[in-house]
Amino acid sequence: MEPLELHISNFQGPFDLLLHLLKINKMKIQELRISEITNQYLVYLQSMKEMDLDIASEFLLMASTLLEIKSREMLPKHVEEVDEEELKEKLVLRIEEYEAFKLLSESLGQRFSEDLLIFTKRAETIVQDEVPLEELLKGVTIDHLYLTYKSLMNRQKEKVNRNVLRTRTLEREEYKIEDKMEELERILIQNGRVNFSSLLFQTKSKSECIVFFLAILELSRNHRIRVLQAEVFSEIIIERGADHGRESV
Amino acid sequence: MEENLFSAAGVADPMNLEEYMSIVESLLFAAGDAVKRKDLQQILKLTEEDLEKVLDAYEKALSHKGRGLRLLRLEHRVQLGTKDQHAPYLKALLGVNDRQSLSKGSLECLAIIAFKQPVTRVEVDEIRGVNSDYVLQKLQEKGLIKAVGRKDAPGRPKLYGTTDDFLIQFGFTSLKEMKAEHVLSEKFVAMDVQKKALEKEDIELFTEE
Repeated sequence: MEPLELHISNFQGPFDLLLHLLKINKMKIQELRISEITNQYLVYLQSMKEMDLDIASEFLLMASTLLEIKSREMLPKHVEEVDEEELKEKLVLRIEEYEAFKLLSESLGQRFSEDLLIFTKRAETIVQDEVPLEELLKGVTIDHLYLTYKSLMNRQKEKVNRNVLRTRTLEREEYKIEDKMEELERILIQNGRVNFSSLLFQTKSKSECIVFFLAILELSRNHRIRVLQAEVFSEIIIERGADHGRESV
Repeated sequence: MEENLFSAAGVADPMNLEEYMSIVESLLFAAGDAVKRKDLQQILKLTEEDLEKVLDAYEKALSHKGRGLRLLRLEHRVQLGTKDQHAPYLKALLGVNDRQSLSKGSLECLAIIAFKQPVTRVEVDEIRGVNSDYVLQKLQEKGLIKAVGRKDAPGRPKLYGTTDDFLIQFGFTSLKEMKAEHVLSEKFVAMDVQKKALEKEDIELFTEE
C-alpha cells in the first residue's frame, strides 16, 4: 500500500475521510468497495492514534459500521442476505448526501470570500419627545423628599444591630410564591385594600420580601389584584382585582 | 425622461403602479432597516399579490444600470441594499475590514441549514457525521442562523433556519436566488420534501414578530 499522506486533522468528520479515501482510490461512491476502504480507514485511525490525536467517537462509530458491513460480506450468505446490501446502500446514500452538502458549502464559501457585500442602512431612529422633568416631578415638594428620606433612614436604623450579642435561631427561609399569593389574598379579603409598604414592613427577610413582591406581580398579572398609585413616589395601594373570586386556571 | 414600465410592456397600468413604487421607495428609504411585507401591505392597502407586483416592478426598475441600489426581498421583509458589484468602492469609503473567513465546519452547517431549513441539530449531525453543537452556537452568535421553531419530537429540539443577515452577508437577495444559483441535486431535494411532508404536523414554527 502506498504511504498515506497525513492531513488528518483537516477532516470534518468520518464522511469527509471516506470521501477522501474514495477520491485517492478513484472509486465512485456508488461503487464503494467496502473491504478496501475499511482497511485504509483503519490505517488512518491507527496513524491518528500514533500522532496522539484524540479520535472523535464519530470516527470510531464509522469504523464499526464499516467493519460490520465487511464482516457480513465475508460470511457465507444465508438468510440475512438482504441486510448487508441494505446497510451498504444506506451508507452510500449518506456519503452521497454529505458530498452534496460539502460541495454546496464549498461554493458558498467561495461566494463568501468574494466579499459580495451588500451594504444596508441601520434602522432609522425616530426621536421621541421625552417626558420633561417638570412633568415627571409635578406636585413633588421638598416635604415629600424629606418624609421619604426620613422613613428610609428609620428603616435603615431598624436593621442595625444595637446589641453586640444576640442569640437567635435562624430558621430556614422557605417562602413559596403560592403561599404568599394566598396570604395576600387573605389579607385583601379581610381588609379590602392594603398599602404596599406596610406589606414590606411585615416581612422578616430579604428573600421573603422578594417572594412577596413576586407574588404581587403574579396576582396582578392574573388580574386578581389591582395595583394603584395616585402619583409618582406616592404610596402603592393594592386592592382586590376584577378576577379575585375566580379560580386561576 | 424615464421609461414607463407599463407603456414599455404594453400593459395597462391597473393600479397606478408607479405611484406605489414611489411610495415603497420612500418607505424603504425612511425605514433603513428591513420592513415587514405585512406592514407595507397594511400601509398601502394592497393584497399580498399586488404588493409582490409592485415589488417586482420596483426591483426591475432598480436593476437598471444607472441605479446603485437593489431591492433585497428577504423572507418576510424587504430592504434596500447596495449593488454587490460596488462593494470595492463602498469598502474604500467606509474602510471595512476584510471579513474573517468561515471554517469548513461552519460552512457545512450553514449549507445544510440553508437548504433544509427548518432543521434540527440532530439532522445536521446526521448528514455531517459529527456533532455540530459548537458550530451551531458560533453561527448563532454571528447572527447567521437562528432558532425558528421547535420540533414535536423527544426533547422538543429547536429548529434552525438562516437569518436575513445570512442572505445579506452572502450577497443573496433571497433564498430563492440562492437555490437558483447553488443547486442541490434533485434526489436530495425530493428526499427532503418527502420527509418534511411526513413530519409536517411535528414542525412548530415561531411566529415572526
